[in-house]
Amino acid sequence: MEPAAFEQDALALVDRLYAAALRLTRNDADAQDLVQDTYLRAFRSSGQFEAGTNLRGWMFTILHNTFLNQRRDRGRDPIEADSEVVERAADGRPGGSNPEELLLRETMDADLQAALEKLPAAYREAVWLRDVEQFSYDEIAGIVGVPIGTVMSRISRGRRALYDDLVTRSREYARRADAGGERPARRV
Amino acid sequence: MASCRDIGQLVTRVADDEAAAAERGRVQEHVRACAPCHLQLHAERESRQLLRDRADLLVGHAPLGLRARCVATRSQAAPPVRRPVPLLSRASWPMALAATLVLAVAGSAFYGTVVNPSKAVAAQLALDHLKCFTLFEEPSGLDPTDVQARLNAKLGIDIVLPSGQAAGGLTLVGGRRCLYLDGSVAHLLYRRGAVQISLFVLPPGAKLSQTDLDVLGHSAVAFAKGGRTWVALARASHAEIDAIASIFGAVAH
Repeated sequence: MEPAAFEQDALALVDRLYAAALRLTRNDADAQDLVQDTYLRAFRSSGQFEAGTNLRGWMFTILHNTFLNQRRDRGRDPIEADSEVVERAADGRPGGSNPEELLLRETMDADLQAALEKLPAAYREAVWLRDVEQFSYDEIAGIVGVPIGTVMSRISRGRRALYDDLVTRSREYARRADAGGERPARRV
Repeated sequence: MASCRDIGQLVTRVADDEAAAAERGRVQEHVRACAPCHLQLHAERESRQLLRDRADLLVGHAPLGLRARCVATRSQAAPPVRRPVPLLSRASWPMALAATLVLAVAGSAFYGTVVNPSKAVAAQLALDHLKCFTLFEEPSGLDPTDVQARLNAKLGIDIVLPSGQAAGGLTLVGGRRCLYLDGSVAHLLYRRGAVQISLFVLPPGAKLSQTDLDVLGHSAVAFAKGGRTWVALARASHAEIDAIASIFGAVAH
């Protein structure tokens, strides 16, 4: 692949990579550094990329691995993979009924962001790659470096934890409304 | 009827509309009789739809400047060009002469393929300057001795920073490692009154081909000392930044 074409295609992904980096690092400065480091590695390895294959998946794989390396270098805890909290959440906590469902569909974007933030890192990454980036299970397994079964388990548990969190928030709004309070103003 | 355990991953595939008709049938039969699995399927579908509907909003846009930083890494990734340029340095040279290397920095060795490597490096440093003052400034100031120790421990950079009267009114308000040039650049943040000043300490071997540069409304001066290239950068006149660089040049090693 011509260097100029590779560069152009790779740089077109900067918004998406930054968004994913933000979910990994949960910090703007670290996310920017992570994306910058990802591009440095990508440009260095561009000769190994085969034209016509999945550049987006390739870049996300570099992002993921760079993130893990940075965490390791900084001596931080490894990504939590199977939080007990989420295990419990996945085991049949009461969910939503129709009125709640309506409220859920109106969930404020800020609530969705907050609920995503609360997910264990491994679940958040799997759900993000699947539902926002719309990668296939197979592609996610390649990016994250785990078996497909693990990917599906993380997606399943992540979605469930997200749903339960949002339902809880919706119930809280409903409770406040019943008590005469107002729903919090929509935040951007 | 299949057990909940058997149906587990099929639920996710059904929620994703990726299950075959037979698999979908098994799941539907199961969830009709199993409330927890019914709820699980419902929860997965809801979350999936919610995220897909808001995907564009969630992705949003990267901050201004990040793309430029990423573009700048293109030149760093280029294979090093061998050029036997000695790293200046005669301690007795006055500051202005020592600044032979300067800004456009890591230039020749690292940016052989760039049209104007000095400008690219200066732009990168100016962006780091702006970003770091926004994000990492310590309002109460820092002890130069502590920062020296951290730089030594984390980057293996053994330098002495100006302190007390030798600092000429400069207050150290931040110190961090920049990912630039493989994460081997030390970035020190100073203030003097309202002026924000950055001091970058480049890794051994990184050289500059220009001494004075103006970029993004900032001035930069580079000098060599102790086998390294140092770059002082601020939104100030060249005379001011030159005077500030002299403070570092006189003390730091």
